Amino acid sequence: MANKHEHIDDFLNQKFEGFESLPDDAAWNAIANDIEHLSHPIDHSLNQHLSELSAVPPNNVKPGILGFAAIGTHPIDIALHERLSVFESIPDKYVYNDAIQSVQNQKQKKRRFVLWFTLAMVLGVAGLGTALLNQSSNTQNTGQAKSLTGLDGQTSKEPITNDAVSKESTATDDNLADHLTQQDPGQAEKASPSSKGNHQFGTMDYKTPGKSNLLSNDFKTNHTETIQAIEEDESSNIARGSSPDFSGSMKIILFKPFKYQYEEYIYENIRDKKSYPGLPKKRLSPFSINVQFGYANESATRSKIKTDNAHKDALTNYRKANGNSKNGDIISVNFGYRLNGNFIFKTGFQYSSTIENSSIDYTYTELPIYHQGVLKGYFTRPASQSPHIDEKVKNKTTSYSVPVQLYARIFEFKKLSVWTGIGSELILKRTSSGRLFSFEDEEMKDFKSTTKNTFSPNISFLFQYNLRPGIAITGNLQTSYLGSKMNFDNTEFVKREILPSLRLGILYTPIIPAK
Amino acid sequence: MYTDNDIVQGCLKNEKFFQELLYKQFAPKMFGICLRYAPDRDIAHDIFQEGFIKTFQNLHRFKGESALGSWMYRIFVTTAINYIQRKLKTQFEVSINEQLHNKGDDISEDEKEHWLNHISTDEALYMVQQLPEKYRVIINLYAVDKLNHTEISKLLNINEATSRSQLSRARKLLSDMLKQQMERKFGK
Repeated sequence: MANKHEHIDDFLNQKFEGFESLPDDAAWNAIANDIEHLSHPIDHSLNQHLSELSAVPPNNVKPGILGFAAIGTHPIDIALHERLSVFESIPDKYVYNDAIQSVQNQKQKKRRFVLWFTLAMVLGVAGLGTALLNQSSNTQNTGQAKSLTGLDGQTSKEPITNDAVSKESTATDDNLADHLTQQDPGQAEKASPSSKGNHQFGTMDYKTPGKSNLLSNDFKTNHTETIQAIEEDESSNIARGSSPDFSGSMKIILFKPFKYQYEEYIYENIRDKKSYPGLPKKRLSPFSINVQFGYANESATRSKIKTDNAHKDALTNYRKANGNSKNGDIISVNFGYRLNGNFIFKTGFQYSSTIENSSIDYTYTELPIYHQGVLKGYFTRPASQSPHIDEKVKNKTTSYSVPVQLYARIFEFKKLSVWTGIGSELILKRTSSGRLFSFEDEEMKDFKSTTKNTFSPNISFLFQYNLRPGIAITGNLQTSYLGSKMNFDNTEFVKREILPSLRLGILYTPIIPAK
Repeated sequence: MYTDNDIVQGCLKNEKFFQELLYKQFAPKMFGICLRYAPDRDIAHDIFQEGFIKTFQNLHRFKGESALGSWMYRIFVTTAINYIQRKLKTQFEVSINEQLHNKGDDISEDEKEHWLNHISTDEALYMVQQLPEKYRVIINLYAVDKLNHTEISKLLNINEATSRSQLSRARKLLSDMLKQQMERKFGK
C-alpha cells in the first residue's frame, strides 16, 4: 500500500511540477492599483521606513482621553453641570462693604452729604415756616395793641385811610412749595441673569461662548505662578479673622451694586437652614402696611385778605382766632409697594385733627364808612358805646387725605434704615370750624370752612427699625405745605400753612415663600 | 464698555469706579461658585469675601493672558478649597475602608434620568450643599468645573484613585438624596 501511495505522489509531482497559468486581467489590474502609491520613489522610501514604525504613547495621553470620554457621561454630572455651571447668586450687602471697604469709605462721604443736605432741607422748610409764622404773629400782636388802645377809651388818631388794609392785603405770598425739591438718587440696575447656559463637556474643549462659563483651559495651564503666589499668601492675614469688622461701619446704600436683587435687606434673617441653605426659602412681600399714630401741628405762615373793602381789623381778628399754631393728632394707614431694595411707593389714607384754643378780646370802635360801595375810612365811636368781645374760642380742623409718596432709602446701619420721601397728599376734605367776630352783625358767629380736592406737597423722613423679619417700628417726620381759603362775612381769607407732623407706627410686611 | 485690562488697570490705580465695576461685574458669578462649594450661605459669604480680597490684593499679578473672569474663577475655587481644608478641617484623602464601601446606585438609570430632568437649580444646589465637604468639592470640580481626575488629584493633592472613589461616593449620595427629594416632590 505504501508503494501505491508513493506512485500517486510521483504521478502528481510529475504532472504539475512545471505547471503555469496566467491570472485574469482583473486580478492584475487590482494589484497594479494597490501598488500605485508606491510608484514614486519617495513614497516607496517612506513606506519602507515608516510602515512598520510603532511607539508607546506618553502616559498622560490615556487618562486624558479616558477622562474626556468619561466626564459628562454620568447623568448626575450632566444634571449638575446643566444647573450649576452658570449658577449665579447675590451676596449679602455687608460682604460688599467689607470686600471693598476702601471704595465704600469714599462713597460714604458723598452720600453723607446727600443725607445731611436732605435733612437740612426738611429742617429748613420747617424753620422757614416757623420764621414766617413769627412774622405773622408780630403783625397780629400789633393789631392787638391797637385794640387795647381802644379799650382805654381813647380815640384813634389814625387818619381815615385804608392803607392798613392795603398793606396787609398785599403781603408777600411766599411759595414754600419751591423749597420742596426732588432727589434723584439713581436707579439700581435690574436685570435677570440666565440660570442655564450651554452645556459643554470635557476639559479639552471647555470654552463656552460668552461669559457664562468662566473656567477655561486657563484654569489648568495659566496663572500657575499667580496661584502659587496666592497660595503662599494663605497664611497671611487675608482671612476673615483679620479683615475689617463684620459688624461694619455706617453704611449708606444709595445704589445697588448688583444685577438683580434678592428680596430685601433682612431676608438673610428669615432663612430656614433646614431646607435650602444657599437660598432663602422665604422672602418679604413687596407689599407692606404701615399704621402710624402721632402728633400733628399746623402753623400758619401767612394770612391775608383777598376781598376789597374789608374792615381793617378783620385780618387781625381772623389771625387771633384762626392763625395760631394748632396741635392735634394724626392717624395714617399706608400701603407700600417696594419697587426694589431702595425705593418704596406708598399710598393710603390719613386722618388728622387739630385744635386751636385762643381768645378774642376786641372792642369794635372803628366803624367803616362806605361811599358807593368803596371803603373811604373809619368813624371812631366811643368805646363805651362799642360792643366788646372777650371770648375764648376753639377752632378745630379735621382733614381726610390720600398721601402718595415715593420713598428712597438713603441710609442704613444694621437694623436701622432711613428713607426720604417726597410726594403729595390729595386732601379729600378739610374742614375748619370755630368762631369769629362778624363786623356785619357786631357779634361772634360760627364759621365753617371746607376745602376739597386740593393737593398738599410734602417731604418726609422715615426711620425704620426692624424688630424681626416683617415687623418694624417706624418714625415719620413730615413737613407739608398747604394753601387754604375761607369765606366769612363776605370776606375771603387766604392762609398758607406749614403742617409738620411726627408719627410713630408699626410696619408690617408679609413673609411669603420664595419663588 | 470697558475691557478686562481697563478694569484691572483702573483698580491698580486705585480708582474706585473700576473697583466697583469689577465687583459688580463678577460678584454674582463668583458668589455662585462660593455657594456651590460652601455648605451654607454664611460660609459662602466668608469664602466670597476672602476671594475678593485676594483678587484685589493680587490684581498686579494678572497678566492678561486669559479672561479676567477665568483668572478670578481660579482664585475663588482655590480659595473655596483652601477654606474648606483650613476652616472645616476636611481631609480629602479617604480611607481604604471607605473606598471598599462604595456601592453602585440602587436607582434604575431610567428612574434617575427621569428625576434628574425635574430637579431645579435650587434643588441641585441644595443637594450639593448637603454633601460632605470632600464629596462636594470633588463633584463640583469634576461635574461642574470639568476637571478630570488627574487635575483634581493635583489640585487637592490626592491620588487619582481617591478622586474617582470620592466622585463615585458623591454620586451615590446624590442619588439617594435625589430619590428622597423626588419622592417628597412627586410622592412615592
